[in-house]
Amino acid sequence: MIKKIGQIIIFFILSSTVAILQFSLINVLPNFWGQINLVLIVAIFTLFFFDWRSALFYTAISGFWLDLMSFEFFGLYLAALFITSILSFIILKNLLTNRSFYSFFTLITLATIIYNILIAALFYFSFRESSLSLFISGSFYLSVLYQIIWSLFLALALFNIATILTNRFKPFFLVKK
Amino acid sequence: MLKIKKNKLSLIFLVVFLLLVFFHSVKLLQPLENFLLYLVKPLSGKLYNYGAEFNNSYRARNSQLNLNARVESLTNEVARLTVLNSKYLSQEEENIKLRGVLKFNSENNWRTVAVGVIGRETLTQIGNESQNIIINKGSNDGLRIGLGLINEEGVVVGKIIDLKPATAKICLTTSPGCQLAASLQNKNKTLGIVEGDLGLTIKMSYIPQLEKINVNDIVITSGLGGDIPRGLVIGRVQAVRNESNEIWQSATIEPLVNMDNLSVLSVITP
Repeated sequence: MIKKIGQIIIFFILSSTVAILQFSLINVLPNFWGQINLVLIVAIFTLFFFDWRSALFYTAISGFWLDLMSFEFFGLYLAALFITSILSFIILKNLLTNRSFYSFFTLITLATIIYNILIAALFYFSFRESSLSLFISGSFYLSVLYQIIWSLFLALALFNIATILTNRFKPFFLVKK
Repeated sequence: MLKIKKNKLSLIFLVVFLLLVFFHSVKLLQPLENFLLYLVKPLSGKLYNYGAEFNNSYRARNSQLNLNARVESLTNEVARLTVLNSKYLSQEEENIKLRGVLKFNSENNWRTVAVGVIGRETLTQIGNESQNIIINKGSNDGLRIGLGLINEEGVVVGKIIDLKPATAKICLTTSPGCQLAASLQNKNKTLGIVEGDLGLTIKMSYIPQLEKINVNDIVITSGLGGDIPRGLVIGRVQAVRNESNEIWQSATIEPLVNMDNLSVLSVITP
């Protein structure tokens, strides 16, 4: 029981740290560096390498922190991350058959596109000033492209780290004797 | 069975989400939100400073190529400022004497509240056009919407556009949509409105056609229509756009502050 509570606390602290890193550190970095969508990448990593339950809890904690610190309407990030996680889970279960690097990268890419469209759409429906400019702005599409490039780098790094730590993703061959 | 369990989990999340939004809107979550924000503000401030330092060193490395030209232009600038400084010193001396004669109170009657930057809000991380920063003080500290912020040199960097009890959102002067009433430090004290332009420079508009504007004129706050006092430096005129078929002329203003390196600021409270 105590072990379980400890795990939950550590999970909560790690999820919160990712959200704070995103808000206070990554968003400050220069143009290309500042396009890392760490919160989303970690969400997809959790979904891919762990399970749906952990991904959902992570989404709830990090989304709550982002909504808390941001000045956009409350629930924007929570809703966007939740819907992205659900859609990513459906894609993972129905369209991606194996757990390879290519699957991981495809999933992150699709999740990045879904997340950005969702955020822009939710922002648009919030009827705020300049909400229209998100879809017609060229920098929106450039930002999505940068995020996908970052996703490729980080997917490569995370996948290799995961394969070092676990044998689950290493290929094996059946040898006929 | 597994599918039912997953659907149930999603449903629980959805209910929690709706409850959170409801409790937030009726302000029942406010004490918890404030507590959590106070808890993370020091960490956020530190992380922001690391990010700003990285930003600076990154830009410095990129601009090394232009160093020689920069040194030359700064040398000329120092010479020009030395002459100006000596002129101002003699004027200040004269000013003090005259104020003494007139018994004029020269102290500014506004106070400042020191604040730290804890984050930057770039919605969906779309470019850097819209630059809003988040500071570590809010309505609980006596701040209100419309108050101006200055850096350590006294240059205006932005104004408060949104408030929470523990934090506040600031639009930077280079951010599109961030407007301030301004005046030129020329003979006629020309009035106009300054607004951020593409997140890089500032644009001063609504300047009457007949007004004479010179490059390098200093732009200050006019003190009209807001809580920002008169006389705070905004920037320097870099270029003037004057079309004969237009009613107004406009000027591009160079900000005197590096907006990527803001960490400690002061809010001016009247």
